[in-house]
Amino acid sequence: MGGRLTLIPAGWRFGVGLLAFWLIAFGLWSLFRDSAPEQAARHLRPAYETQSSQKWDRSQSELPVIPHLEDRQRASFAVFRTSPEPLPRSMRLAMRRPAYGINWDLAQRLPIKHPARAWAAPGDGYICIFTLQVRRGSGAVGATCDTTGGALDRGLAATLLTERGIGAFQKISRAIVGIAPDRAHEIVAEASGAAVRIAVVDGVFVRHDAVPSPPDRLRLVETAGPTN
Amino acid sequence: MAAATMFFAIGASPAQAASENFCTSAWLAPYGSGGDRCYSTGHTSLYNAVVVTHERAGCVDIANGANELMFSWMCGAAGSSPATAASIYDFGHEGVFRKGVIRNNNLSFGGWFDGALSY
Repeated sequence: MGGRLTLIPAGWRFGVGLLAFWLIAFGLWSLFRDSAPEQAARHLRPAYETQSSQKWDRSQSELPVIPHLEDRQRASFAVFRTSPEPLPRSMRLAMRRPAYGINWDLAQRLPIKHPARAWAAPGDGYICIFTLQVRRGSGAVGATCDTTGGALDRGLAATLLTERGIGAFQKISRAIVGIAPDRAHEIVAEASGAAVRIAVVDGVFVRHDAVPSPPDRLRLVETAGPTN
Repeated sequence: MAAATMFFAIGASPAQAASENFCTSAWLAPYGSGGDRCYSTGHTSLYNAVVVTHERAGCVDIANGANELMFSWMCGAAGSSPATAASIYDFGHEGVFRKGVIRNNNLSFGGWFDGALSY
């Protein structure tokens, strides 16, 4: 046996050994490539950079309802500089009481009807987007909120995903509705490496499409200032 | 942290409603794969459900006893923790057995999420 091996040139033996080593190494790498990060993530909650500027504590659920707009809400958001369009009674009953000091009477209707109507409303250092879906006398109110500072930095949007059908025949429609400060002329809604640009008109943006993901984050595209 | 504080984020009146967390620190798989959503226990007086997000955007909805969705998903951006990313308030279904449900809608990546509800 040993005599037969010695008949193979040393260079060939080295080459075959090296090839085997690389094949085994590649196999092991392929085996663990997909599962390793997933497995690690299950046990170690990864650090992430939070986009929210909300620092929640109990007192914020008990903030008094603001009697009027805050100066920077009025100064920065065109949507709040028109006559208020208060939230309907059905929405107030559904939510029972305001959070974040939101004044439901100072709400502003946003230009969307399907799959829900929507309003923006100011609170005590906060702004919320509310949606209303109504189906035969019942329905649902949706809410998403951020600090006024957060809305100034990146805008604020609610996303609704509507599914029809199941399995391979399922169709999904996405609606994004939100507000942006005066200095923005576009919003970039980013999700999973895919980004869509949405025009801001009079401080409001709306988009309907078939993307099944809500945006992870928003980014403002600012209107160029005057050049000297 | 999120689980401890999010009860206060939903505007419920503690005197009239009970609150509970569900799917606390749940790892939800990418949208479309098994494990992309998580349900609460059911209640006949449920009126509010919320989702708290971390590294990915998340959605919340109300489902009936057969786990069929009752409304469009209400979604909020990533990184809301410890506050809520999105809330949904159900009205007109008092007495109907319902559940809160949260979902990861990201197509490529799993993520951590928390849910809470009031009833």
